[in-house]
Amino acid sequence: MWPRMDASPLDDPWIAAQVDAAVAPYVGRLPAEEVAWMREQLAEVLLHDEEAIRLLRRAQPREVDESGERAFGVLGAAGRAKAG
Amino acid sequence: MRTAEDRLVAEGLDLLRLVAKRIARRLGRRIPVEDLVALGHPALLDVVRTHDPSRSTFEAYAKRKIRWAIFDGIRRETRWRSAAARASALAASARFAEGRGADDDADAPATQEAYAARLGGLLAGHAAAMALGLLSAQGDVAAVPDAADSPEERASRAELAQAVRHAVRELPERERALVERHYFDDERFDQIAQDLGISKSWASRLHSQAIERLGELLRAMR
Repeated sequence: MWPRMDASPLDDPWIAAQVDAAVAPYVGRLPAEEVAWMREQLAEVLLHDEEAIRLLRRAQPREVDESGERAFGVLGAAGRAKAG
Repeated sequence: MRTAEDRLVAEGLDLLRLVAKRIARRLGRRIPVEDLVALGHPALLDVVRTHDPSRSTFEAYAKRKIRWAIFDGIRRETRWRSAAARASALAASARFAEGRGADDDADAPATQEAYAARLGGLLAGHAAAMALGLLSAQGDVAAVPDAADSPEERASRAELAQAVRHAVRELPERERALVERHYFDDERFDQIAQDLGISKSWASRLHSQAIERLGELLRAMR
């Protein structure tokens, strides 16, 4: 199944783990609301920053369906968001 | 009949609304889109007048100039204090992205693990840039706490400010000078570049190197 149109990259556990690692130094040092906001902004980076999109495409472990033609995960949503 | 300049202004107006809407969303809708459009509008005529097609597309140039005009405008307006810190954070993140070269780490191994490590470094850099932006917008939080924060939040912010200052001191000399003067002393980026005797574009690359290094240092300090 493809992700919903309103899917966030953070819905993907692997991506959420990368984002959580990036904000880890600020957890407990910034208000939780600001840390949550930073996570959302990193998700924006993954959707709109060309370098981040390129690296994510190459770094993210993929699952493919039986035909081997379709990658699951957030990449479809990222591509659609960028095209939109 | 519309002139070429009229057409660029019309295209620029569409881009202005697009950029303003995206920034409004990223700031958590703390500032109305129309106010952001008003902040970015003066940059439009400048964009039309100064765009050089041999250097960049009109869209890329206009979006960048409009974005910076809006960020600068938010920081000047005292009525948007709650959004100013987030605007500073987004500005720092945008500056970090702008200074990164397309061929950075071109020699790195092309394995999935290597790409994942580079992605982790990129995200840590954006996070460090945002943290710097948040802290700089509030001044030296160790000395000037936000009255709206609880004592615990103030203590945590002070601890973060101290950790960031400690990490900045670990940077190579020119990177440290650039970061300290821009984020701690609120000096203009082009002025610092001039004082350091480097071009603005080289200062931009130096800034991105510093921020990526800072991200790694802060990750190691956890």
